[in-house]
Amino acid sequence: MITNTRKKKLPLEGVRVLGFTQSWTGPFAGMLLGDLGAEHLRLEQIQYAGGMTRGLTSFPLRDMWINKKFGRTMQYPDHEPTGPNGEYHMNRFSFGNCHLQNTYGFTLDFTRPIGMDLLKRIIAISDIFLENNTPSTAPKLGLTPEYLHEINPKMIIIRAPGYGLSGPYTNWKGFGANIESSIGHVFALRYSDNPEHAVSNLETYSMDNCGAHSLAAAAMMGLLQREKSGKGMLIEIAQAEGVMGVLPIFWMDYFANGRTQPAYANRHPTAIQGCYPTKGEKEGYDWVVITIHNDEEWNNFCQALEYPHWSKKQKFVDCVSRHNNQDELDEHISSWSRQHNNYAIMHLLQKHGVPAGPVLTEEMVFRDEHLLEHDFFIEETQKWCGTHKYSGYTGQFKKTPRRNRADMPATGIGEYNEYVFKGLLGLSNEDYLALEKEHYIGTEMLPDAKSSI
Amino acid sequence: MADQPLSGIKVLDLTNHITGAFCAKQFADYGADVIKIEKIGRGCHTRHMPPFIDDKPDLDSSLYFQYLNTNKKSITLNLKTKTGKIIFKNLISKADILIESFSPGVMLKLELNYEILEKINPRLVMASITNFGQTGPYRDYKASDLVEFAMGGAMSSTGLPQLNPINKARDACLFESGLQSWYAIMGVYMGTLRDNIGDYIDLSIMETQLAGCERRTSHLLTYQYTGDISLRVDPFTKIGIAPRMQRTKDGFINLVIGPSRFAKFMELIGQKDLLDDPSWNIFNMEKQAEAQKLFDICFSQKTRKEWASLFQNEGMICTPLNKPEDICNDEHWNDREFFREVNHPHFGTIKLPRGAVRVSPDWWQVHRSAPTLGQDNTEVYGSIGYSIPDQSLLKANAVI
Repeated sequence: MITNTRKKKLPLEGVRVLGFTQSWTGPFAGMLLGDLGAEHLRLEQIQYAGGMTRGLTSFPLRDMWINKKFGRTMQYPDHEPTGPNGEYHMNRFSFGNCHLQNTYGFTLDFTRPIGMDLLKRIIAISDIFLENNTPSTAPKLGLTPEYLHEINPKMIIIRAPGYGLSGPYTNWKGFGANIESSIGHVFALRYSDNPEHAVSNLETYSMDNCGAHSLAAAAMMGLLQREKSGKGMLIEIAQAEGVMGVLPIFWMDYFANGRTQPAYANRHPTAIQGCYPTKGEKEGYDWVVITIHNDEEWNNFCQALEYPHWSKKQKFVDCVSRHNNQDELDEHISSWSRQHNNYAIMHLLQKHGVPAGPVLTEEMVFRDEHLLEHDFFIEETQKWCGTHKYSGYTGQFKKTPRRNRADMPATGIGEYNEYVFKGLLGLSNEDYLALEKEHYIGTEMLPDAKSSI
Repeated sequence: MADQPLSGIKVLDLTNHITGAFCAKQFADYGADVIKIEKIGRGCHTRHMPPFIDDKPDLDSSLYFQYLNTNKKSITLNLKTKTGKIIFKNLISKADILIESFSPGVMLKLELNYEILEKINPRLVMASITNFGQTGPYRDYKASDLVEFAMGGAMSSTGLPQLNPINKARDACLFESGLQSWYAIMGVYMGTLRDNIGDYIDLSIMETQLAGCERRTSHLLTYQYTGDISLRVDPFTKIGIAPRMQRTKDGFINLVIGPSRFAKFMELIGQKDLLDDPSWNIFNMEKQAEAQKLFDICFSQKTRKEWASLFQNEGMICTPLNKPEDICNDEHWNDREFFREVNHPHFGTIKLPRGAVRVSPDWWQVHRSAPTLGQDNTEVYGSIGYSIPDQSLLKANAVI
């Protein structure tokens, strides 16, 4: 038998992506393409900080961060914008650093003619142009689709603004949370219809997740289409439309049945489901979620709990009555769950065939035995932050190689200037130094740099 | 159809729930030839998920099913029979991509695992989508949308600080994982086009949540950088005294007003004169209570939509907190023809959201509504050599 010993190559090796991106959707999509072997060149400026990729302002105030201890989307190592040895704050921000891997970060002021000439040369050798700014941003700077196609007719241009390139809201500004408020995700996510629950949580970023993965898949569709037609194209992805596509029932039930979805909170229309308090180190800290789909799982659940007296109540015997009496059932389940640890509950219930899982804090995630066995996290050493564990990839490929994020950790601003200008464009050392001197390129923000926020 | 980027690609959708079906739908909607393989009699699970059209459950009336299966063909096939396996392998020999979502071990038990299928079709890209992946301590654990969000997503930091954590929109997590799976399969497929070697993809829904950018990767990195876990926070937290979530005449608006726009903000709410008083400074926290009382009065004068237009015209961030009826009737989405009517032989028309990727001429097209159970048995089995009498025999033997 002949064994196939041929190895698979990186799927997108030789494809060059030019990213003019900020915040999440765009840079993350660039990383996703970089993971598959594309050369993702990400364009920034030392005159201007776009979005929140590298900070809320160009010059963060230490006071703002040193006491901010509630975690979430943005922070610096040890709460210090500047590192202990002067490490530059723009390269230490968790918001951006979680997805600047496999990315060649470079800077260029293309608002001046010499800079634009250099950018034109980069456009000419790039296959894909990605941007996720408000629709007027790139055109105001001269980067209209027509201009890009004049330079490179085969370019696959992908524009991913919040609300789309047309329509009354096309120029509307907003962060993810704003857009998700306006497309009904905040409304969907409410504990009840009581007025005090009208806003139960402000931040979801489904649009970024949908946007980034749609962008990356669209880029590949563009490559396939270009192969057939020999021509470039303009692709539009409205980030709001991406997230509306993962909330289909809200629209379809309204259109088909004239109905607004009720507040489910953690409940389910056909199963017994909820989030229950568990014993943890601190009161109100630890939780478990349980879903009991049907009679079989209910019986398994009762068996796991050794048939407590309340489980035998008439009102819990059939699946309809159980559902209609869930308030009372939840009280019983909570009084049981409060006595146990969330992981212990998961293992016990799963052993008996009942879906259950702990609500994982970030601390629990890094200790989780399943993730440890899968080796899910990637240890990356980044010049400005040191060594930490970073999230891994979507899907494990048996044979297809991926570019290792540990080999190309979160890129610093302008980190790959030499590669882009000397390596790709062939500039002499003299010309390169002149660019630095004239502040076309650099690795630190200028003192009068502006922010988009 | 030739204008669609994925035309000519053959996909077998052997999935039962949301994630796999939504992944396969992307292929179908952008031009691929997708055949959904379903259980005889009952079909896939999503046929049975409410809400139903007119609240009348039948095999076709689930709105989930109608959305998830546009453009797909449906065949019924019993993989437990020897003949059924042979038919499946025949379909595999002609397919580019197989997406399946059985519990780990089932394909092996059916003797239809990757090692067997790749011998039949070395170029096959096979993706298995499961709760927790093919290996590991939770391999055989059961899940739901809420279990996946709790373990993989940012549930611990979702909700109000004084209450329990809460799910985001129901099933959003499962749909997102479908999009992520689409990206992963496309990536591998692009590689296969170059070297003619197929591959196997192991997708764990829990890990797609941990790998995706619905906040989670940033929260995890913040923890790595600081040891701080992400807490649930008060959604009404402001930037200084400037409002964030603000009540208006008819509901809430969501604003982001920074120090550089505070003066303009005061002007827009008709309180420009107050700026003469230096105590009206965005960061003067002593003014907080008084400011909120004032803002509540000012903002009650106009509707959400009026305020949003007013602020957005000045390039300032302000969006309304909308409900489905606002969005379904909104001129922006109607102008953009975001909601599409799909013709259905039984239900007339079904209105559903279009795909997000737009190109001219449109890559996203609906050629047919979601199929009835086994709708394409005759055509598909005919195309692989089974005559009508053969198909009757197969049906009688409960193979199809």
